[in-house]
Amino acid sequence: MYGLVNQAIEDMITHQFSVAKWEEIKKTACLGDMAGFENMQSYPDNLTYDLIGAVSKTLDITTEQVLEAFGEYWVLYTAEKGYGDMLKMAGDSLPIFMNNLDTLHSIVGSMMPNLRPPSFQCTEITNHSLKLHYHSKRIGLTNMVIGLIKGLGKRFGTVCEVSLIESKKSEQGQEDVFFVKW
Amino acid sequence: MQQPIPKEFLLQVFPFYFAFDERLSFVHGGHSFSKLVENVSIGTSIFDFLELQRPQIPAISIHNIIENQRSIFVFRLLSSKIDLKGQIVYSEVDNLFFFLGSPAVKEANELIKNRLTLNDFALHDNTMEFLFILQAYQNQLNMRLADKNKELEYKQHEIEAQNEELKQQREEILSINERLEELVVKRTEELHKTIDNLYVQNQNLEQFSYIVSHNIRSPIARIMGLLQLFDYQNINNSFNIQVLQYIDECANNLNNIIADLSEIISIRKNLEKNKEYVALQANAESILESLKSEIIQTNAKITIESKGIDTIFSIKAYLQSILYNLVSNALKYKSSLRTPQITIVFQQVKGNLEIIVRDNGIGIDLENISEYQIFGLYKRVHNHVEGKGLGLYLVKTQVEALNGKIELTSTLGEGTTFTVTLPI
Ligand code: HEM
Repeated sequence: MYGLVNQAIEDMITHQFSVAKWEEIKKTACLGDMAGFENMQSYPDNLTYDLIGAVSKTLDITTEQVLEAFGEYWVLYTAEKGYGDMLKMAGDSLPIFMNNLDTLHSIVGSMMPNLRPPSFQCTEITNHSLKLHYHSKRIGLTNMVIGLIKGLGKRFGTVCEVSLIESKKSEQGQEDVFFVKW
Repeated sequence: MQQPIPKEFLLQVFPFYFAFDERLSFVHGGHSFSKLVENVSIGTSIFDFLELQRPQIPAISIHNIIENQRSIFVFRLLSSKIDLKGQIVYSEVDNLFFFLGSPAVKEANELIKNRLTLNDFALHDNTMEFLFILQAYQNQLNMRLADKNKELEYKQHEIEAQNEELKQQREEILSINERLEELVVKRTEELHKTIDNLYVQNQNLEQFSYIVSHNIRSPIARIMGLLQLFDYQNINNSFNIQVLQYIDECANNLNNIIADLSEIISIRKNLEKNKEYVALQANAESILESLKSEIIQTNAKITIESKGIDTIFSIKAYLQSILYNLVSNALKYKSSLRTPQITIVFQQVKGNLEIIVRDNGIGIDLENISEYQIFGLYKRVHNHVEGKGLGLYLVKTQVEALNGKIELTSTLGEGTTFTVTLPI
């Protein structure tokens, strides 16, 4: 994944904990002598998974919890790191925004040629709920999506509930369906 | 045969489109177009809500538009100040001109201001991609600029630190120089002092050899003379007894001289002597006791006065010798015209002890005899009085060994006052 993602993990830890904690986590992930990440450079996915694992180990919380927290943080982080306009353009309400998630990542892809972004589709849209279909070549990031949607809810001041109603792992990757109610 | 252009299709693919007739009157437009143009109704002239930016043609007319169908058209929307960029297509069937395009903006902010979102753009439209690539590029540049600035700042700091270091080194060198100069001055002064000291020492040595030769030679010459008078033939001659008595006196005299000389040499060698508390009054009294016979012989009146000080931490032997020599000097140079009066004063003056020995003796002619001669190892000032010339020299040597000084005032025929000043 792009360095931006790993940078966001670093940013989350140093802001919510300390620089020392981050150093500890890096050491646990065997990245002790890594100075920093280049945001526009693509790194192996394993590095990100290792970091998530090390955060879980160091803070003594489950990887699911780490992923969810990171999903929430990502909404704040991208808004600050030059993607604020893009977030604004993608909609000013939770349902409109979710509808644009796929387009959003296509646009991001135009700037990051090695991006392997997830796909999103919204179905069964009502005034207070929808089904969000998430497709990814990566496996195991389900809880990050939950955190991301919750983060979006906070961004728009919309109280929402997210439940995983279908989840399928295969060679092709992960296919999840979330039911989002607000 | 041409088909009419379906409106539904246009709405999906060109949400920013608008159509006008040959009178340049607005006919219909897309949702996104309507978001950017307020209150536009069928029949209004398109120039009520836009102005042509490109191509640059003298006056817009149907004829001109048809001629420029291969040109890119840019319209500025008057209310939102947004440029729409695209092309104009003429449909014969509809008898309408269609402007097909989308916003040409350089900043996402312009779209946000007009409440445009991703939904207002056709999915095929690359405006957003273009916009965000531009922005990412800008971000990257800004970041690099910030990095460069940081680097520059760091360099600046480094240079400043180096400057500071250089400044310090310069100052150090300057101060070393200064210290060196000071040292040279100090050393030169010391050298001068050493030279002066050497000069004085040399004079002292000269005097010393002078006194040694004179003071020792004269009693020896006397002894040799006396020995010639000795009657060897008549050993029992009573005259011989007298001669022997004189020889004995001379030998004693010589012995005293040699004792004094060795004392002077030991002071000069700076032999370490222990300091102790000396009671001034008692010390003076014991000295008067040792001069008892001279005092009785001369019938001298001696008084001791202590003013504000009764002890001093010093070398007792030196104090005794100083006082002894000054008093015996006063007794020696008494006036035959009057009873000798000697006053000894101990007083404290500005952190110093002053020992004053005042007499009413014959006095010294200070106009013709220098202090140097008085305290020097010269022959006696008064040739008619018996003395060995060593006493005052010894006093001066001891006073100086105690870091003090000795001065005198005198009036010929009236008396002499010696003042010894010693630091407490
Ligand atoms: C302007 C905001 C956003 C930007 C710039 C952005 C960018 C990215 C980037 C760079 C990646 C890494 C993919 C790779 O390197 O191959 C990524 C992954 C991901 N993004 Fe976004 N993203 C944004 C917003 C969101 C939002 C709001 C969601 C909410 C659902 C989301 C969901 C995800 C997920 C789930 C992944 C994990 C990758 C995967 O599932 O394969 N993103 N995004």
